[in-house]
Amino acid sequence: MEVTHKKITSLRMEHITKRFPGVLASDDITLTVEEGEVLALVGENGAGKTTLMNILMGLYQPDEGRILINGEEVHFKSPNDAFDAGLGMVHQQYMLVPNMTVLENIALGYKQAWSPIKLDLGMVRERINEISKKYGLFVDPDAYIWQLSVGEQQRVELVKTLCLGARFLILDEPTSALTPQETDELIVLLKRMSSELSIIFISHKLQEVKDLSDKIAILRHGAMVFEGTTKDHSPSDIAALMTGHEVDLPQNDAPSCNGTPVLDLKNLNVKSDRGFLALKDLNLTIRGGEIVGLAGVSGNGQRELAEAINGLRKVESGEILFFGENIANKTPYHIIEAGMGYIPEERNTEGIVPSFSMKENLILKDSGRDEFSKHSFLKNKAIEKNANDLRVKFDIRSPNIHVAAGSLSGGNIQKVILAREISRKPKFLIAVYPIRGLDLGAAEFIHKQLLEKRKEGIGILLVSEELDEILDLSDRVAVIFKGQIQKVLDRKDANRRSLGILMAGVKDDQTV
Amino acid sequence: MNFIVNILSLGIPFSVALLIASLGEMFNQRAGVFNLGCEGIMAMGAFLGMLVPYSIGQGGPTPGIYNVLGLALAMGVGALFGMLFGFVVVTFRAPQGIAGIGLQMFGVGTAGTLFRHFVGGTQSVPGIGNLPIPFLSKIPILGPIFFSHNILVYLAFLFVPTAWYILFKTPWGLRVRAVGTNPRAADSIGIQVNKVRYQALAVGGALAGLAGAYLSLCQAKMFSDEIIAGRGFIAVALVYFGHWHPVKIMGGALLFSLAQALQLAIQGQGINFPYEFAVMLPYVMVIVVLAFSRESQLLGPTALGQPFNREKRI
Ligand SMILES: Nc1ncnc2c1ncn2[C@@H]1O[C@H](COP(=O)(O)OP(=O)(O)OP(=O)(O)O)[C@@H](O)[C@H]1O
Ligand SMILES: [Mg+2]
Repeated sequence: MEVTHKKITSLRMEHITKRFPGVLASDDITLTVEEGEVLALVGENGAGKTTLMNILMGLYQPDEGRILINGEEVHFKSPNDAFDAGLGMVHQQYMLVPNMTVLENIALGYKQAWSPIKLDLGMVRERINEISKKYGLFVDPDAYIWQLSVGEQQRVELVKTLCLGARFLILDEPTSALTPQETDELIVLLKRMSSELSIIFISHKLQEVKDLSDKIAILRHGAMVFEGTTKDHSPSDIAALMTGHEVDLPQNDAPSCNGTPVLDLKNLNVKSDRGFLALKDLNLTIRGGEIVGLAGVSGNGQRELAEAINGLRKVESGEILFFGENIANKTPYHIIEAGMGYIPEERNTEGIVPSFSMKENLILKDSGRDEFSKHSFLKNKAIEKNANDLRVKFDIRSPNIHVAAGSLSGGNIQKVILAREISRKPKFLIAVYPIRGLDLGAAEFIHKQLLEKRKEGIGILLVSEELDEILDLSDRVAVIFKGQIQKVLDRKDANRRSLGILMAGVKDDQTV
Repeated sequence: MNFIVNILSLGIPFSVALLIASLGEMFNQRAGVFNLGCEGIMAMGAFLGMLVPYSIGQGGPTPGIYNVLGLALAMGVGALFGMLFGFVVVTFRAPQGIAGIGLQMFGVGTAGTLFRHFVGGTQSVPGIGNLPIPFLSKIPILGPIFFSHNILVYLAFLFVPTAWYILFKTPWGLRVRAVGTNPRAADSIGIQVNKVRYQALAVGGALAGLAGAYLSLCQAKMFSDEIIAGRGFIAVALVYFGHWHPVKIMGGALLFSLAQALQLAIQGQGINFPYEFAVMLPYVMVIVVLAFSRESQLLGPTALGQPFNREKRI
């Protein structure tokens, strides 16, 4: 059954203003999208992109301004109204119910399958199949959301929005968690779709913006600072307009180091949430003062590896030698005390306590240290000084240090975690997708910080799907595939092609 | 043998009030609201349930009608109380624990006061009698255990698959589970979170009212201030015990009630067993089982107790 909405020939937001306590999130913004157009909305973390789109979807009410569709003013009191008008949004933070299946999550919005006494899941399944086939987006309808990797969840979100029949798509950083291949596929797909629908696309990756969009709008501090056609501007132009300066991602060009091994994984076996072995006899050694990039398509055991090392997942067998001590199956507390730093993938549930203030989140791992507490009372002055220093140093955009960390923009939450993990002087750092969702300026800064740490002699395990990030930073690159290390390459031998082939599971690149 | 049959045929009707109330509480919690006021709504239900047959049905030609009216009134007022609770914790986002305790005291107090005003002292009502099922109730052993109860016992056990079906197979159940686990996601896909929570609270309240009326009309056949005796709180505990699943909740209600029946039987046999221990037994069992039950975080309503505010990010 096809869902039909009236065509959206033009959509216009006029003089939109939205204030949150202490922040002007949207400052008199006006923008227009015509039929079949792709508008890229870019800007630094906290610039107000998500807020503006939430207003368009009826999630937030603007303080001032109005929305016009096909020239007529509309009032969206809730997302339902926006759906009815044919709008659909893939949110930056996934809007999925973890303990329900993919099928149920989609059924939740698929009202055609609702009769009072029965939920017609068969109909939803058909709809999913139809959409999957049409767009080549495959999802397992019976998987529970909590079992899926972030990338898979992202795909579910997209399928969900398409199933609900959106004619106007809003995509808030849809590629931030996708593999490079998935990203390319998505861009091709969106291009194809743009012939029949209009799209607003938010991304920090300017190459995508360049490839996909017709028009580009740049936000800074809540205000629209630039509008233009994409083809007139190169990615570096856009980056400069966005950040106000030339962006230059740093490179690791130091000679490779010969430090002593600090993290030694021996025959590691770890199970996934679904109960099968996610890591199979995995071996990897990382020395002090080197960055080892772990390249691989997400879902090949990266998450399980990071969690096992940090004591968050049971190790079935094998050893994790950390400065000579076997920390397999030790408590996270013990592992943190031993000097492990961890930047987790799931930043909203693992990296911060959303309801705690930003300053509290910044000392979450150190609340018991003398630095921040005395006779089991917290030292507020020291905590605030720490927070203020980090806020400046890491350029965390927040009204102050007392706001709940969960109220920050996605990229700024990431900065809070990074600030804490890097500043607490770990002896080793596991960074899982550290620049996911960060704007270019912030990514540049974080990369510099990681290289700085490397120089101080700290070993770093960098998990990423971004080959550029891996190639820029790593001394050695380990490719993970189906829970095993395919191969470890020196930086000089690694390039996009060789890594791509290894990531796809081909053991020896000679055979291709 | 007889001893066991006795315990079982006593324990099953005992479990009914708990079962009905905790199924109601399950809907509340699945939608993200825990209602500690269950006890209070049960007290109101118990009073109203017996009030109708007592005041207008006394000696009438068809007492059955008045019993049904009593049950209906108990459910209606229960639903109303549930929504009143919703007004406080859903609309005004008051802390649910405190509001629930308030509702409990309000309900128990009001029921007791109205009882003294309209009824005065202990008065018994004919209540709802047993309805042995023809033929089936004649089967030895199984008959007395399963087929010789009042109609609400049978109904209550039919509620279990019904509740399961509603929760897992209907759109409303899907909405309830969604708003209790990730209200933000539900909201973003066009579900009116607060409306669903109100509905769940109304259902939960109606069932709590019915459970109370069961106690006064079927079990005690009278009203007294202590008639609920903490069952509302046990019902809340049983929902956790049963991991928000109707069948496991039924298991919990049965376990608890059989233990209670056993305790009564032991006393009845004149065995010299300290009374206090016997009374403690069911509670101890629940605590022990709760302490050892495997945590299933992944199944439960993770937004339990959190009011929803669309414009707040956390
Ligand atoms: N519900 C809210 N309550 C309080 N402040 C908010 C809320 N939503 C957004 N903000 C604030 O508004 C500003 C803009 O946030 P927004 O999420 O729109 O940024 P963004 O451009 O999407 O950033 P990112 O690239 O990091 O996702 C931020 O300062 C943020 O802290
Ligand atoms: Mg955003």
